[in-house]
Formats: sequence, structure tokens, C-alpha cells
Amino acid sequence: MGWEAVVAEEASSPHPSALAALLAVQGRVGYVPAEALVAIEAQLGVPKAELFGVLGFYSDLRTQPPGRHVLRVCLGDSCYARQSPKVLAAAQKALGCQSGQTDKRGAVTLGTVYCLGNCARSPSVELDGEVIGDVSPAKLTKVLGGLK
Amino acid sequence: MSVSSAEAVETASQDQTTPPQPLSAAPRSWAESWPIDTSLPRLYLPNDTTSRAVGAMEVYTELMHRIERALGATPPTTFVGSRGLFFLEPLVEVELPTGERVAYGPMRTSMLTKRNLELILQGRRIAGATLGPLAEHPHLIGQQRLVFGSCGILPPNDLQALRSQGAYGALERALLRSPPEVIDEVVASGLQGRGGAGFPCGLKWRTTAAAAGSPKYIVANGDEGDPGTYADRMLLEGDPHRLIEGMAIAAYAVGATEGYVYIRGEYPAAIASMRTAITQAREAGILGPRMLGSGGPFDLRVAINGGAYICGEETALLESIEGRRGMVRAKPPYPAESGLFRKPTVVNNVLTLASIPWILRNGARAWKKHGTEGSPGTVVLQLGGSLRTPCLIEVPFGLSLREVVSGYGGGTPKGLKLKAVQCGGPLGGLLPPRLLDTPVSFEGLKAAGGLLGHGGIVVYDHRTDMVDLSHHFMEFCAHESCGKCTPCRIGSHRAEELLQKVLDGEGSPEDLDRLRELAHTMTWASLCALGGLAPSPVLSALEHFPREFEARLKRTGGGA
Repeated sequence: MGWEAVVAEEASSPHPSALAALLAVQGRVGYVPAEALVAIEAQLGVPKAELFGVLGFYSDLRTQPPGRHVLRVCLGDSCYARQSPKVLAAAQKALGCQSGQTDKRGAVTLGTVYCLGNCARSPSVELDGEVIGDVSPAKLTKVLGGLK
Repeated sequence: MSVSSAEAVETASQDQTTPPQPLSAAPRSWAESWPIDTSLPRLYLPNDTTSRAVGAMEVYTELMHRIERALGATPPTTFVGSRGLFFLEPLVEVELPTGERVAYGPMRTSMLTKRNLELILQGRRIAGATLGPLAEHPHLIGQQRLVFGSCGILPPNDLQALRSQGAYGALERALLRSPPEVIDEVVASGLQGRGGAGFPCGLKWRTTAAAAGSPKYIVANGDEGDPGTYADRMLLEGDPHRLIEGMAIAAYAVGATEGYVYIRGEYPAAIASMRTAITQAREAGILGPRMLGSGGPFDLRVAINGGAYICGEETALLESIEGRRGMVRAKPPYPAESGLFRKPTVVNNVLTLASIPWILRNGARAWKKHGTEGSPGTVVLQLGGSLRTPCLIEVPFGLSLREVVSGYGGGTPKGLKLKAVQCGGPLGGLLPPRLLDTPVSFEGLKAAGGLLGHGGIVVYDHRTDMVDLSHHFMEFCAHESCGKCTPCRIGSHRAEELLQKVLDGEGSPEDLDRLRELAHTMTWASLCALGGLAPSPVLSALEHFPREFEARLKRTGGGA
């Protein structure tokens, strides 16, 4: 099912939601393409200006395709207490890019997140939707080295 | 589902017709072709996000492979949630013929020798990982698991097994009473909201029940945004039917017909588990046109946040369910009277609603036997940060912070000295070691300058730079402010800049005064608790660790 179908599905739900439609589109194709905004505007009756407002508000939503992998370093308080800034620094160094950017090879998009709920085994990162706990700068550098 | 996850995208495109797979079902890598020998003891395997995050699936897979290689068949397995003893994960429990379960953890693949496998299948000791029956584990003995009683024990998506152990029994009983009686019971229990504000749950219900307007809604707030908290996640993954039961009872009590479970996007496994449970409850006739065949209509949907902390605030949450930016609404009117789609709406935290079945089953009086006068019942604490044995505990209100941190949390790891304990997340406060005798309760923590909040307790050791930590808090607030009111939108940025200046060694004593003044303005002039309380951890750092700030001020000029 492409993004067209999930927009139609949301439009036919009892309480259509622009946010749910945008999240569903991104769930299908990894980002929100401009054409999807046209479709959501037409089918949900939400003006594009409002859609841009929603896009800008929720930090998970993106309008550009991400790299082949998405890495998010947790900056929650428990992770901070367990030296997560060093984990983030290691990721930036290994990928040669800052948070919000994709490395030159197009392999990994780097981001940050405030808490993955894995506080008992922090510091944590999330790689392609799976949480990795007990992360150290060395362990993360090794994981990143194995990504294509 | 995880909105930023490339893997989720891949999975979704492969599965064209089925809804997202519940992660609590067997993962794909488990070959269904493995022959199962039911004469072997059953294995219980925690499939919680944190278990998987520390390699549980690798351990389980290797375990099954090796047993299969040795015996030609594998034992029956049941995936469960976590008991909350996360420092023991990956954990494996073996059910003996007596029905007793013997636990092993933390397990490593290197422990899976042929000899150890034989011992494990007999429930006998192996070196380094034998825990015995978990119910007798020192960490669980002192706990009172009223809300988390099934978590990690019963399979979250096996409705038949859950019902045989009493799930939905409280709903059945509630339906035999009148709605006002059900509300009276909740009022009598003194149950306070577990999201942070601590508002009496029963009074909220009473307001919605009396409010004009239809339909009415029940909304479970599972937007567990406070960094350092994970109880909602654990419950949504490990015992979602308890939440559905609590919501159904609430619906009956106030006359609501529709409900939403609002879950943050960072919790894909919780979303999947909840969706599966809702489908099961619908198929079993628990939800639908007639609750359990005798109640009114009630149905549930899951709504997902897209990574905005503010959506944990109830009015921003409602805006978000309606599909818009999560901008806080001015109150009144309160959601109880005019909430979702401007209709009367009960918004309760996941833990509040999950407490309801126990209260209805055992009565308000039994609930009040736990806890303190001002904070009845149990409190669910989530320990994190610099601790030896971080875990989730459900204990009566009133234990001291020291008992929690040094006892259950095991104190700081070797060589690290405790410096501060953060209670109540980014809106709470930092308490220095001399306040460790503070009782953990709504009133106790408040008096000490902390906050119970959602029960997150994060420990910082001596390596923590309090100025940098304060900057971290303000950066968080600036990032998460919804922007509706000026004190929070602008104030958080100015405070972050002032703290950056101090961090850079360019700050003056006047900057610290300005910071305090700014915090005062935010506290009193912000529209909601985010702007109002976000300065608290910074103010507590200034109060308890003033020298760290002063030492960073610029040495020249009037800095003496």
C-alpha cells in the first residue's frame, strides 16, 4: 500500500486527522512528499497552510527522504546522567554530520530524541525503530561502522 | 508505529493487508517449523522494549536453537512483558511441573552450554545467573503490585489466559452497579491522577458525568513524555487489557461511548500491543455496541503523537488527537466539560485508568489501606540514571527517597558519588543528598522542592556539571514549548542563552539575577505547567549548588 491508500483510509475514518494522515504517509514512505500534502488537503479538507503548521510542530515529521538508516540518540535525563552527550559526539564524529543531517554516503540520518523510555538501561539510541540500550561511544561507533 | 523508522517503513510495505504486527507475538526470526515438545517445561520470555534493547531476542533465539540441536525439539514458549527488574534482563523463566517459575538472568549466550541447558530445563542452579522464583526476589518482596500485578507474569495478548485470572472481572461487577455508585467508589478511593497534577480522579469523572453534551469521550494519556519515565510504556506493552478495562469502567460511569488511547510515537511496541488488545477486546464483545453484552456502546482507537512533549498536557493532547498542532487551550472550560471535539471528556493518565480495575474489584477501602493520608494507594516509581539496579517499582506511598534510591536502585555504581536526585522529570526539582529522607508522596516531595510528577527518579553522580545540566533542562523547554504564550516561548530561549553564557565563562552575577527573574516570570505568567514548572529544576540547582554557578562566572570586573 502506497501513501495514497493511507490518506484515503484516514479520510474515511470517523474523525479524520491531518496529523494521523501525515504520520501514516511517513510510515509508508519514510517522509511526507509534497504530493501527499495536496492529497491530504483535497481529501481531508485541511488547508495546506495548516498542514505546514502541523509539519513544523511535530519533530518526527520530515519532508525530505531520510538516509537508508535512521539513528536517534536519546538525550533524556537518565541518558544524560549516563553520559549521553559523549554518545552523541561519537555519532557525530563517526558520521561526519550534525543532528538533523544525513551522512555523505546517504547511509544514516542522525537525530536526537528526548527519552525512548529505556531509562533503566541507558544510555540508549534508536536505530531503525529498534532501541539499543547500554550504549557506549565505542559500541555505537562499531554499530555504525557495520551499516551500509 | 515508529514514524521515523526506516525498518517500520520496510515492514509496512511488505505487509500490505495486515495491521502492524504486535511485537509481543513471536518475532519473525523464530522458525515456526521448530517441533515443540510439550513434555518440556514452558519458558516465559520477556519481550519488553528494554529486554530487546539489551539483546533478549539474540539470547532467546540462541537458547532455542541449542535446545533443538540437543533434544530434537523445543520447549513451549510464552512471551510476556517485563517485571520491571530491568537490571536482570535478558531474563528467562522456566515453569516447573509444580507450576513454580524459576528465573535466570541476566543471561548471555556464552552461558548456554549443553550442561547449563540441561540444568535450566530442570530449574536447577547455573553459575552466575540463577535467580530462583522471582516472587521471592528481594526486589519484589517489598513491593505491592496492585496495578502491575500481571505485568511480566501473564501473556499480554492472551485474552483467555488473562480472563481466567480475573481480567475484566471488575468491569463485569461495575456493570451490575449504577454509574453513580461506580463514581462514588472511585471518589472514596481518593485516587489521584498519576500524570503529574494529582487531581482527584473521581471528581473529574463526576464533572463529566454531569456535563451536558454527547457523545462523551474517555482519553487515556499515554504520552509519557517526561524523560526518565517508562511505566506507561511497560504497562501498554505488558498488560494493555488492564487499561482497556479501566477505560471501559470509566465509560460506563460517565456515559461515554468513544475513547482514545494517545501514545507517543517513540513507543512503537506499545502502540502495536495496544492495537492488538483493542482488536481482541472487540472480537470478544468487551468493546463494541454492548460492553460485555450488558453495558452500553463503547469503542476505542489509538492516536499517535509525532514527537511533541507538550502533547502530554491534556488540552494540547486533545488538539493533537483532532489532528492539529499541539497548542495548549486556555482553561476553563476544562476538558471534563468541553474537551475532545468540544464534548465532555475524561482525560486520565494510563496509570490512573489502570488503577481502576483493582479499586473496583477490591474496594476503595482496601486501596486506602496502602499509602499515606494525603496520597492513598501505591506509587509506581521508575528509577534511572546513575544507579546499580535501575528498575520499575510499585510501592506504597511514603517510603523515603533513600530507601528507593539506595535500596531498590542499589545506590550509585562503584566509584561514583551521588550528587543529586531529580524527582518529577523536567518540571520537578533536583534534591541534594541531605534531602534523601524526604518521603516519596505528592505532599512529601512538594514540601522538599521536588515533585512526584509521573514518578520518574533520575540519579546524577559527581561527574554531573550542574550548570550544564541546567542548560540541558532549558534547552529542552525551549525545544518543546508550544509557543502559545510569551513567557514560555521567549523565556525558555532567553534562559537557555543566559545559561550558555555562564557555561562559556562569560556570565556575570547580574546574569544569575536575570535568570531568577526570568524563572519567576515564567512560573507565574505561563499558560500551562510546561512554562510554569520548567524553571524548577534550574532554580533548585541554583539553590542547592550555587557555588558551581558562581565558579563559572567571568572573573574580571564586578564579579567579586
